[in-house]
Amino acid sequence: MTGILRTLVIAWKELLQLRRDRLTMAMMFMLPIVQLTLFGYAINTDVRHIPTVVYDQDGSAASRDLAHSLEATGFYDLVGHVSDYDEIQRSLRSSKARVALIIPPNYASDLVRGRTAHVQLVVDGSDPQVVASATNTAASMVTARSSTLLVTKLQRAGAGGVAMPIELEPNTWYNPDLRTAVFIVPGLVGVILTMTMVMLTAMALARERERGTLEQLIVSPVRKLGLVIGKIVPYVAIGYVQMSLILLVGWLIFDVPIRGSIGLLYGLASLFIAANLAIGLFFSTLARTQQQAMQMSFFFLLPNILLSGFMFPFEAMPRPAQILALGLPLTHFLRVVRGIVLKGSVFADLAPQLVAMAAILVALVLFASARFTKKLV
Amino acid sequence: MSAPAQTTAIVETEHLSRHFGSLVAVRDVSLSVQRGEIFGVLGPNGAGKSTTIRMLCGILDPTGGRGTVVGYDIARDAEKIKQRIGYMTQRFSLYEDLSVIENLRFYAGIYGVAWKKRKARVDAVLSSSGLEQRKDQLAGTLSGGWKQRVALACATIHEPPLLFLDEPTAGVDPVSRRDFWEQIHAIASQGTTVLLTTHYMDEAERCHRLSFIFRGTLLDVGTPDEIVARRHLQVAELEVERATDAAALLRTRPEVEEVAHYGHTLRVAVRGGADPERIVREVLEGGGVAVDSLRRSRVTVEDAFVAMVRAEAEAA
Repeated sequence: MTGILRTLVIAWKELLQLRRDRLTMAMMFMLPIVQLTLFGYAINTDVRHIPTVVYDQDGSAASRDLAHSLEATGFYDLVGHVSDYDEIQRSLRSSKARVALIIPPNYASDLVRGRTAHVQLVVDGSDPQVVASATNTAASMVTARSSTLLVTKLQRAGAGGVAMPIELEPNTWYNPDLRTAVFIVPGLVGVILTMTMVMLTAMALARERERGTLEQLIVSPVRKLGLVIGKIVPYVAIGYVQMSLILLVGWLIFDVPIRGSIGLLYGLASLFIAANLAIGLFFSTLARTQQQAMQMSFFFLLPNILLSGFMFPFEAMPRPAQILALGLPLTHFLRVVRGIVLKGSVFADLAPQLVAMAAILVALVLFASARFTKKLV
Repeated sequence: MSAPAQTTAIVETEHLSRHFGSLVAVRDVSLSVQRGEIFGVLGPNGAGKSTTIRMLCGILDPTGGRGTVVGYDIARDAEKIKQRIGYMTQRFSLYEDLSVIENLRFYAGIYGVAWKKRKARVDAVLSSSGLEQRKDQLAGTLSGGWKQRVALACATIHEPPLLFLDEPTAGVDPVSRRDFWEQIHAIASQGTTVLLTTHYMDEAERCHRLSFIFRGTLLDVGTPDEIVARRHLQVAELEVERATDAAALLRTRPEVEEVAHYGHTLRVAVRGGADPERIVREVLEGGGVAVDSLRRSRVTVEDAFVAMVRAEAEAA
């Protein structure tokens, strides 16, 4: 009973200190909003409007038609015509264009005579993401055109009832417009919680160590567990506030829907928040000063952003990176939050993530509490 | 569960030792502190004073020997000890972003002062430390002397029978130090035992009993008078024109333990019950230095301490 009271006393003290620390308070609530706006607007992984030059050696109606239908896909902006290969090189080098379409001299006549016309697409490979988008779009456009031409030709030749043998109808669920914000906003919940929870816990304890008040608490009858819980409970509350803020702003500004159960999301988030607090606690046992605690937190954030699947697909990473990523609570939480928010996943869908996060949490708590002792040395 | 032993000693150690790797911070310290006394642990920086106090508070495990504090074993029952002691360090570990009264309430809560008693206790320490006017001020905005008062008030909010003060007056102005010592005596007169460390010699003389720690070893324990008497020192003070020459001459005599400058005055301590006035006259008249005045002086704890440290350093 007295133990619970002591824990409450510590939590109350922590809140009093937080209230006085305007900068931290502002950071905790402004950070999610600023990040959300930044990531939501700035990061756009669907490549559109690639500046393109055309080297039309044919100059026929058919070749102009090809160039126009390329532009009509919306992926290419025709920024000019060039008249030789040197000019193509200059355009790519000066970044005036990233793609060049080269139509050979006999394009129109080849089409008429039934010979294969070789159209060339030169792509600036310094940004791989542009290469993939540019070639894929152009290739499918050209294939579609060829098929249509073939079918028309066959029909003209008198083969009645010729139709396209196979037609693929792609159907994208959950984010049909492929908007990046829809993908980023739920992920941001996880990233921001990782950042603030780890940093705040690590710094809150490092501050007490730096100021000497930790020694004062260690000499007091406060139990280790009571001390730790009292210190982190206020931050758990802050974590939930941040999470709600991101989801709310994401819904208002970026139109990100919440399809699943908010209760389930908040419930599973508790495991994730606890795991991050344990990491922060562990960092605080290593750090002698607040500055060190801050540095460690940032150091920890980087692999989280890169490996967790927040920005790059988990499936695309090499095996060792995947194994590393599975040890990060964020990897599992991202699946939870994207699952619930975007796909309306239910508890049964997320059981593997629940198990993984619980396992990480137990390991972290054991590890952190072994390091955090109520002795000085 | 061991019950507190019924002795008058509130702190008792036997061969208490602490190593940090190959470094021996505290070696074989055996001492006992009686209930109600002000017990000073004196020693230079790095002598092992803080390490000793931390072991007694149960926040540092001894690597050798044993000790009991308020009747509990320091290695086994550290948590029981922690409920019955107050602890204050030279860093005045206050929450600087909390007000004076918030700090007091916090420590009252941490030490489990009953809710009904809390207000009375907070008011009592506020008035005994003269902090009523400043109770809503943020602790970080107080001067060193006031911080020290708040720290002491926090350490005594739960009326502990035993108070540990680790260099409580470091970095505090002389007037505040004086006030602080009056408070310490007031606390002790109500039956609280006070164990404190210091390297201020004038403070050592204000303790009921003292112990000297040097390089982790306990050199002597006793009342200030006992400790001074055991050194068999005699001290004279003199005024001379050429003080530096006089000091150099005096230091050539084997009986002379120490010569120290105090402004225009020289303090000369001699060993083994020799007559300091006779030695001063002999040496300075022989060296042709005129003595303006010469008188016997009281032997201080500082004289005793310097003699002890010097003997120990020579022996090593």
